[in-house]
Amino acid sequence: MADIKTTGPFLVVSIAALLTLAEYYFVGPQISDAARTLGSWVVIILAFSLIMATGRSFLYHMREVRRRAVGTWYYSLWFMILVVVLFSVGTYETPNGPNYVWWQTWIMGTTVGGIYVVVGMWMISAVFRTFRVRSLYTLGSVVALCLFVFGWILPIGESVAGLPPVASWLYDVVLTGSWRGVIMGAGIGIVYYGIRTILMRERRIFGA
Amino acid sequence: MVSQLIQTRFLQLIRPGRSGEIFVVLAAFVIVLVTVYLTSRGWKAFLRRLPIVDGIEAAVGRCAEMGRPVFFSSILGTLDKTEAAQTLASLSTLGYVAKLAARYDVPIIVGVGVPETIPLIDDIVRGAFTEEGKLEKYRKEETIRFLAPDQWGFSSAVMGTLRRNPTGANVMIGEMRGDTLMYFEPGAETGSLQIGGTSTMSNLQWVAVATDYSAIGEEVFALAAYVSKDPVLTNTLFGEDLVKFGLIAYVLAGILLAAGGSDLLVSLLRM
Repeated sequence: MADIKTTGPFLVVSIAALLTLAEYYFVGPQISDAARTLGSWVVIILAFSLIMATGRSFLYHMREVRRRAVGTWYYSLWFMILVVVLFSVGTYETPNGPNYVWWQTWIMGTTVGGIYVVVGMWMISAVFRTFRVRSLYTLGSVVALCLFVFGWILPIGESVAGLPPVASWLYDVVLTGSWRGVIMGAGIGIVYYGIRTILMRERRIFGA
Repeated sequence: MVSQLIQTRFLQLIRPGRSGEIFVVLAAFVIVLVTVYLTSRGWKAFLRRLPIVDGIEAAVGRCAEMGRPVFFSSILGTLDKTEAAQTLASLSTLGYVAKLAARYDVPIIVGVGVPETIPLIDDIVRGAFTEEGKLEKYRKEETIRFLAPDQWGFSSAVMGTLRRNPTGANVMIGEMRGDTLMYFEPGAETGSLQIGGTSTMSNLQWVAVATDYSAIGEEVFALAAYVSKDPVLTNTLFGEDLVKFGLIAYVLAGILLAAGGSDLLVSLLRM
């Protein structure tokens, strides 16, 4: 019994992975049917896990409000109110209802836009941190950046003979070549990880 | 007779254009099986130490010295799409981070964006604390925090969590999208050591520039095998390199043949 409890999850993962692999490579009604059934089960499990995770998050914030967590409890309360309101609206009039759509368009849409703008600010801070030339690698990055910016983006680059072709060569040959190398490496890494999982050797994923 | 059987039965079963791929996958399978056999006979491949492993150890040690928690997340990688392997590799690394955290009595916060990973994360962290003999110190409610399943909701929640609970280290490995910098820059601002890893091609550069230690591309998967300390897993990395060398040879042969006017090797891949 203990053996089934330990090996069971690995076996399920292994069979599901083999089925998915078979569906990708082979044609046949039986394989397609089995893969479709597996897909339906995945959707059901995912839906349940979302409900459970939301409940879990709600309970966490409820605890935070109860113990009046310093400086954060009112965020938790706000979160709980929103969950209740959205859950009620979504359940009462379905996600296509006018109130739910209004919320998605005017609250979610605008908030997401605002959050996305923050990425620009982080890009600037990341670039500032990166190009402070603390090592040979960053020196190489700064040189490449200057070649790109002056050779390609700023019009001043055109007045320096030979700069735009060097920038183009860096992009077309060095960058594209390295990119493909990384893609191949990552692809092989994924294949091997998958095989190790199918063969039930990746035991850490279940805390074993 | 045999070749006729292969052509009529076997090849007809394979989806068009995928025969070349299946050959590579089967070759990889065989190499892994050979590796398992050789490992059982005592063979051990030499493995270069990955700098990110030192980085993780230093990061958790730093948290212990500063009295701050370590933050871990496999971000928004799901278990049912193309990024599944990356997510699982990230979770394998979580086991190692959690073990170190348990050993040095460092609180660990795991930010979750994908609900179906919660049971796995619970098993992994619980297993790590049990291994270190400190299960009583594991607080599931405080450790595993489901933040949001939406990309921007999740990144906002990560930014908020890092600001409200300044961490000593921020370990984020997994599928990254346009919000990559939202995970690392707030951490850098609050003075935490940044460790990142992804094999998502469109965001490798951000991980490389914004973190103190990074794993990009296949390193994410190699890291998972490395920290497991399982000789079979570490030896399979040698097999990976063999396949890589084979593919490099294939590409070089393809270039030479193409220069000579033949597209034989390209056609073989498209079979």
